Amino acid sequence: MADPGPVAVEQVEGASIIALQGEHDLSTGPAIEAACDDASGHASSIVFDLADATFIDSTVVGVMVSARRRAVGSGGTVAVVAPAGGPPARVLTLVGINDVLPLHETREQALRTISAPG
Amino acid sequence: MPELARRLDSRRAKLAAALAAVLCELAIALPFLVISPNTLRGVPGPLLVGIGVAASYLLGPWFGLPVTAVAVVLAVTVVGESAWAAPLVWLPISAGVGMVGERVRHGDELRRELIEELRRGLVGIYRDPAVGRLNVVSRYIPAVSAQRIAGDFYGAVVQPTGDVAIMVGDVAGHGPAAAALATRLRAMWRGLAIAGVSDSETVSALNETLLAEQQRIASQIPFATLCLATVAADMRSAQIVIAGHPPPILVTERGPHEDAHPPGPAIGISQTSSWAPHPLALPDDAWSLVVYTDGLIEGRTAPAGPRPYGRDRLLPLLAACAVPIAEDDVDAVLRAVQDANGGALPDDVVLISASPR
Repeated sequence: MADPGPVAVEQVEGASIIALQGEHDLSTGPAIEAACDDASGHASSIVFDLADATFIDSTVVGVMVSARRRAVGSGGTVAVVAPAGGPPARVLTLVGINDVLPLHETREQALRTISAPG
Repeated sequence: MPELARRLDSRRAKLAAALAAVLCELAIALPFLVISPNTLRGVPGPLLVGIGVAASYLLGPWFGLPVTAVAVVLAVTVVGESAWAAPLVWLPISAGVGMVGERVRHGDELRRELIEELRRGLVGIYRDPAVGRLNVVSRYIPAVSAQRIAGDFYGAVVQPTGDVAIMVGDVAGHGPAAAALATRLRAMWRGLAIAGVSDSETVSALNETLLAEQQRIASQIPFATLCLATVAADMRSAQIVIAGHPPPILVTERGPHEDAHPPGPAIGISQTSSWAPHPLALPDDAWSLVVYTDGLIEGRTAPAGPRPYGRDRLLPLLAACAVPIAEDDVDAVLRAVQDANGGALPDDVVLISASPR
């Protein structure tokens, strides 16, 4: 089915960055969940970098929403890098949950919102 | 193997299969009995006993044991001293394998029944497409694997005022938890719609329910999306409420037109979300209102090509349909999307076309 797109995890000061490349759906959901579990051991906040993701479905949105719930529970937060007009941004805008998963143009912007309190 | 076992369900079919297995064993053993017991020593033993044990797996111990017994007797006569001829070893093994086979089949049967029952709860099965003053053509195509279940659901009911309420929803996630939750949301929508509760209150109630379920169930369903379209009894306008779902498309003689109103949030995200209905004017001449789930536009653009198919490719397909969109055209749209994907779509698909009768 979908060529499973790679999931890369990177640790920076105060957050884990989970970068998705290519197409992600039900078949890669478990890999993204595993990356979230790894990330939660390092920092409470997560940045999902979807700049290089060409396709995400609702499974991936669901994984990010669940990750956000856990992050908030442990005092962290979640930000998403999804350039406007790109396929991931379109899916996320349609689901209408920008206040829960705020979208950012670049990784730097997303990291700034995570380090800024509140 | 399970397919074969299912076909052998009846007693008569099992008896016939057991007889066939015995005849097969005789056919294998006969040349060795006639020519010389010493040629190819040891070869028919494993074959004969193997058939006996396989019959036990497929037919259950009651039919499998006699077949195994015949196999052992034949093995004794063909290859006298071979270990394959020891009935005390093979009869218990055959009985055990037979019981395992029955358990596996019973589990398969139960899983199939549960999935079918859950699917029946997800969708309305409309033999007659007439719902009030609308003709509602609906298609529900479960995801590729018959053993997998997702959470797409839909329904259409006539309200006390004569308005027709149509709902298409999609619970994020897959598996029994998503499907069971979807059936509960659908049942709740149906009750509220029949009672004439407004769409925005209905969506708020479904939101409350999903948030409460998330507190209760350990394996969380992150959210669900909904599109509610209520067509007024006079067929002149519809009220639309969208919760994170692809917007409906109004197809008229002038072509398809996607409802451009900004969507409300998905349900199950926030206690403070609210959903306001917005009106959609319906023309005097022919029209069809098309509502669907994202599975329809998330397949491939070409076999082995990139995803998603996207609504930009869906609109021309709808433009090619005669209005009002009939059953054949709905099927043609689904076929075109599947052909582009290079076969069955990876996720559940719901596609509904509602037109005045």
